[in-house]
Amino acid sequence: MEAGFNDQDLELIKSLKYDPSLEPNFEALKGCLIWDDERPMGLSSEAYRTVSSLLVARSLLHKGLTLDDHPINADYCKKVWASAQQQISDWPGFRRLTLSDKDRKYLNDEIAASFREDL
Amino acid sequence: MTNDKVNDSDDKAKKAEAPSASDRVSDSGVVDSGDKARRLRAQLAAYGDQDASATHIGKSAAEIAQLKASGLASKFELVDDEKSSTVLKGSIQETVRANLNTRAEEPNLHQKLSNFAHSGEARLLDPAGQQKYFQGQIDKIHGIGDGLNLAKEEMKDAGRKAWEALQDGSVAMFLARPNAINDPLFHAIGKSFDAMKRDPHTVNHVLEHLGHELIAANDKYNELSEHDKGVEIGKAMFFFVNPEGSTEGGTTALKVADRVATHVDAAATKAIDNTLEASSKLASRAAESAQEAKQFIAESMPQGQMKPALAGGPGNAFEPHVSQPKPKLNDHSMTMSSDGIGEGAAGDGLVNAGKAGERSAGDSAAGEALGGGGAKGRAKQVFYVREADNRILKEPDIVLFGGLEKLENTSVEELAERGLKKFEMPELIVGHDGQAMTIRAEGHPRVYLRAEMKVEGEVTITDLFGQTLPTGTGNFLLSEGLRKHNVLPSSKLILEGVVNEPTIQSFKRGDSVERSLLGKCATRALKSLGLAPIKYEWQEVGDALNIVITTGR
Repeated sequence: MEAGFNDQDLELIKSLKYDPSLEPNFEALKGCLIWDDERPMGLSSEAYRTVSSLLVARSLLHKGLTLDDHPINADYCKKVWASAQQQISDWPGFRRLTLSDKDRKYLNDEIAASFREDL
Repeated sequence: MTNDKVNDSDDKAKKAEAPSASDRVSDSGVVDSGDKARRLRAQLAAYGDQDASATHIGKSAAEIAQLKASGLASKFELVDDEKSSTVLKGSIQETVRANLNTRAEEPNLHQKLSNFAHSGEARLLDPAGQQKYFQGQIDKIHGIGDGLNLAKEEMKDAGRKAWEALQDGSVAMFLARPNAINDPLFHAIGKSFDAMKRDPHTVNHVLEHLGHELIAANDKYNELSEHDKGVEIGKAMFFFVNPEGSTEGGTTALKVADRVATHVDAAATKAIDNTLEASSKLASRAAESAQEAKQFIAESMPQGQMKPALAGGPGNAFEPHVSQPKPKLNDHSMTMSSDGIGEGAAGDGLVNAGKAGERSAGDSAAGEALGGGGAKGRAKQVFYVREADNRILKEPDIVLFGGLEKLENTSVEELAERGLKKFEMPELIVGHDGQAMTIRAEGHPRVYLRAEMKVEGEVTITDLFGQTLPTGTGNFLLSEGLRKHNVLPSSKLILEGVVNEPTIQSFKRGDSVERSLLGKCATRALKSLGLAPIKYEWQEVGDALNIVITTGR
């Protein structure tokens, strides 16, 4: 299974530079952390969705789960992950498979807050 | 109440309601003075069982005998009155009749709440009445079945509201705060909640019991989706405590209860207990009771060293008919929040900092505003925010703080003393990332919204960051962001790639989309844009969920 990147997408992703100084941000639809150096501008819609899948998959790892714990479609998730590891192995997101204590607390706080009554 | 008494009550009711010349009594005993009853009569006739009530529709003689043996098939008739909804005939008939007799003078809110409360209490403590009620509901389910459109729309609406009350935590919120039951507002609205206090599980028992009864009595119920089952249970639940057949008293009472429970903490309750004498005087007065009770609590706060509870509540608004200070909204902001005031949208507590003269030409109708670059001239929006949880005040909260006018005339320091602050919605900055529209908020670098529109009228939201804005402004960010992009989801609004935990839990529970957090937020945004959600769907795409809302004007 290909991860849905065209040549331009691959170029854009490969141009990303990992920046360890960045702080994560919590995305409410996917309920996961994202760093600014993980999604370049100009990605095709398909590639954007693929990266989103990777972010969700990674958030499982951040929560101490595995890809098999994906709440919707674990098989799909694992295939996208495996394919992306081959196609875009330098993607900065792959360098953040574990969280610092500070970022873990931030994620947990945001998840807890996401159960609020309103956005 | 024994069955004999029930029958006796029925007889009395029949005598009291001898049909007028214009009424007709069918062979099956259905008092017919309206189209709905005529349809029912026709259906009964079609089944050929002139001795049967609606309970027996579609049942064989053996099945009816079995139902009778199990106590589930006592005859229960539907009575229709042109001036009211179809009601169940029996002891509650007298209540309804009493209401009809006074209909010339519309009961005020206090009377409605009192009626609701007294009836609710009586029913909760009256097993025979409960059984009778259940039987009535079973009849009603059968009666509605197979195209008999009896009171359908009204029932649907009642069910929706009742189910929302259960789902959004109004009931649970109230049950979880027994201290609040003793406060004067509950005395003002009656004693039904006191009955629940004596048996906090009553509501659950009622629901459970009713659910079993419905399942046992109607195979069709089993074929319903979980959501529709919930609607039926909610509908029945609502009618259980609301003999008027109107949603008004019940929903108001629940919401009043909720507001009190949410906003009055233990200190407040204690202080209020000390003023029960005064509050009972308040309760003894009719008319403006609800508003006065709220005012009483608000005014009692400083005297009793009370403060609003910091825990967030379901956020319901009072019914529009409850007399209360209305925000001074000009035409512009009414457009922004026309649905919000009643529905708890971000616009609930919204104050327009601008003047009417600053409006752009297109603002008078949100939907039409988009073509003319209407976003440019929009005045900044001001909210009042509870500092403790960074949540905007909605209209009921504002009332508790003395009304919008009072807040507007309160200094920053005084607001801070009350745990409040003003929040001015930041300027939204629109952009494009090569594939999609982006929206950021000035001074809030974490706030970010991304949306695609591949097909005209179909807007797909792919990212939503906004945690540094106060809770309750999400729908505002969405609607205003799209407005500033001159984009209108006139056919579909899609929230794509949804995998957050609350939504996944809702999905797996079988909740409807509109009850999910994102569904509610999107609905409010759509309404703010002058659009109506027509259909909600969950879509599984790849490894994520999409929320798809078909829209219309």
